[in-house]
Amino acid sequence: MKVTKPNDFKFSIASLIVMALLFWQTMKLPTSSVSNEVGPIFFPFIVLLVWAVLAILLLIGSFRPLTEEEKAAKAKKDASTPEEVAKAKLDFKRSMMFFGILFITVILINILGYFVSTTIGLTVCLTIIGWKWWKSLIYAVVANGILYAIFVYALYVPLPSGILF
Amino acid sequence: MGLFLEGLQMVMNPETLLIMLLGTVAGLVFAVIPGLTFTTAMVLFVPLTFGLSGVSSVALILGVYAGGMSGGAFSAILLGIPGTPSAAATVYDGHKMALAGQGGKACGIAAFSSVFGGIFSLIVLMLVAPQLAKVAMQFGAPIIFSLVMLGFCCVVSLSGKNMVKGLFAGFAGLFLCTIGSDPLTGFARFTFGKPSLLSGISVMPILIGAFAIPTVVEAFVEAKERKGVTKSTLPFDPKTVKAPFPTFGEIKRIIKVLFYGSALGTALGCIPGMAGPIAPFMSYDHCKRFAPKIGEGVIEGVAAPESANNATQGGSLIPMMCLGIPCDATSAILLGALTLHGFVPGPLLFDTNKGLVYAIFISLFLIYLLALVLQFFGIRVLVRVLGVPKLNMMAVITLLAFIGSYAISLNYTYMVVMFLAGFAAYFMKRNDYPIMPLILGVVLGKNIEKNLRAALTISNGSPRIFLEEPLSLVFLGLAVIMLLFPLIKKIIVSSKAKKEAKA
Repeated sequence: MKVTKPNDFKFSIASLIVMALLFWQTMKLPTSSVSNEVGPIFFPFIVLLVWAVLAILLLIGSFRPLTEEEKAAKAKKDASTPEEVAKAKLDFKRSMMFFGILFITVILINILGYFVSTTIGLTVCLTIIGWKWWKSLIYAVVANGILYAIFVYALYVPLPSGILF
Repeated sequence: MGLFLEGLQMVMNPETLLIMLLGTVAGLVFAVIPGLTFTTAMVLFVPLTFGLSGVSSVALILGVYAGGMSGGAFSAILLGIPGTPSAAATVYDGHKMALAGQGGKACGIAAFSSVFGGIFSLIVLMLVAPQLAKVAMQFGAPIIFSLVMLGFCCVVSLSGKNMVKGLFAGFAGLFLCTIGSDPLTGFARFTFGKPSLLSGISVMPILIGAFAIPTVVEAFVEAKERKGVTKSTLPFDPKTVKAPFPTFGEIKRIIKVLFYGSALGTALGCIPGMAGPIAPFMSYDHCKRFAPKIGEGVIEGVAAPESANNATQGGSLIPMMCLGIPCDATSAILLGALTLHGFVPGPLLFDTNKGLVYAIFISLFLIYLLALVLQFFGIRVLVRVLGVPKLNMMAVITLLAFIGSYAISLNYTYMVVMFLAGFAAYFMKRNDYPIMPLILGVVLGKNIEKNLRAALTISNGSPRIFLEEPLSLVFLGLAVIMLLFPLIKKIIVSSKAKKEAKA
């Protein structure tokens, strides 16, 4: 048997592993409550069970022959020029880079506070896309400053503070 | 009459009217710029409502909602790029009119038709919603469960090409709902010892992440490709653009199309999963029967989709307000925003917050009027927005996404949830997993669990209770039909193709 949809195959395997861990956690929940037999385990168990069946269906589907529509989409993808393939790969890498910066920003917020972390994060993003670093910094400080003032002083929504601000 | 006056009193104050204007302008601006949707604007504006009163916050979000739906036509007509997915059908005739030097006229017709469709559906909403809420008040747990499952199955069935992937996303949403305290016993589930997860995962950080983060990342990648050059030039002179109000003759020409599009949009808007670009495309296609020149760049071709897309709004508010079932992403956001301010949509809303319900109706009416005035008198300013660099807006959206997710309950975990939701949404989009079932799963999960367990408790654990209640049986039967719908459609199409091949 040949895998016809490698992405679905990998995704369903990964999902089944995660679901197995969640099942293990679910089994620790009480099966019944004081007033009735339908305890806290009931709903997550049912949902996980159906979810696992769907993951298995996806796994089986990843071996099925491609439909005409899927074949046409694959043929279109295969017909892409090497430049188009390289651009798609580069775009994906760049997306991951920006996600990485946003992730680091989220982590830094817990340490440095909202203002400093998001200003750094936004400055880095704007500098990477081609803005001059000082222009990026000014833009990030001004935009962030305005929003910070609106939320903290006008709407009384405190934002996370850290070791710096 | 008393309730109407109460609603009017709640709306008619300078703060609410100003907030309403701000929301409508914001919705129009976000909808005008291609690549930015008013759905993104709606999620980002929810945190701004925290310092406002309940009615003002609802007016702000409704302003973005109704203003946004109206504004998508401008870029569709003038640039040939729809500002919102719902304006995609407007491109055909609208852009043809613009190429023939009638862009301003097309914009005027679009603005008029949008507001006509919106007010038409609002009247239907005002007539139907209170009656439906009265009926829904009589529903017990088994019927509510079956009804919510029907809404869930409709969205899953209609939101993607692959049913398994749609269901997979939906059940992922339902599972996310089980994180936190058990709604009946308070037992901590999947919190991994983190007190911040005890209150569960709110739908708002998921919505913010899913709609804002992939858009921002894609814009950054696109900007990197263009080495940070963000200036865009308009193919026309904004000073020369004028949107004349339709003449009596023009209104007479499109009146049939307007009524048809509005009725179709309202009806389809009520069905979960059918709101969005489906109604305008269907209206555009169906109206060809009595306006055969549609497709050649005529005003009927603009009026048909524009009346239908705004009419879906009132339609989608019927199940959202009466039953607590959102039909699309925008009504899910509205539901989330109302819940954050302590107004839980559902039949009880019509009993406990009657004044607010009427305030919503009046606000919507005023917003449509505002949108009409802003589009006719502010068209030159709005078309200038088309040239605003998208990237500058994206930078602000990034910051608002961080602030918004935190501000919901001053919980840092929600920022992490927002980022993870954005990351997941990016991969879901790449691999054809629809996002809407996941969102609906999160929105409806608690309701489904609560009513399922309540029904089973009444019946001592017997699932027969769902089959013994006739209405519950009907809803569950319809849910199964909805799930089998793609399969039935496939069989019909293949049998038709076989017959044609034989012939």
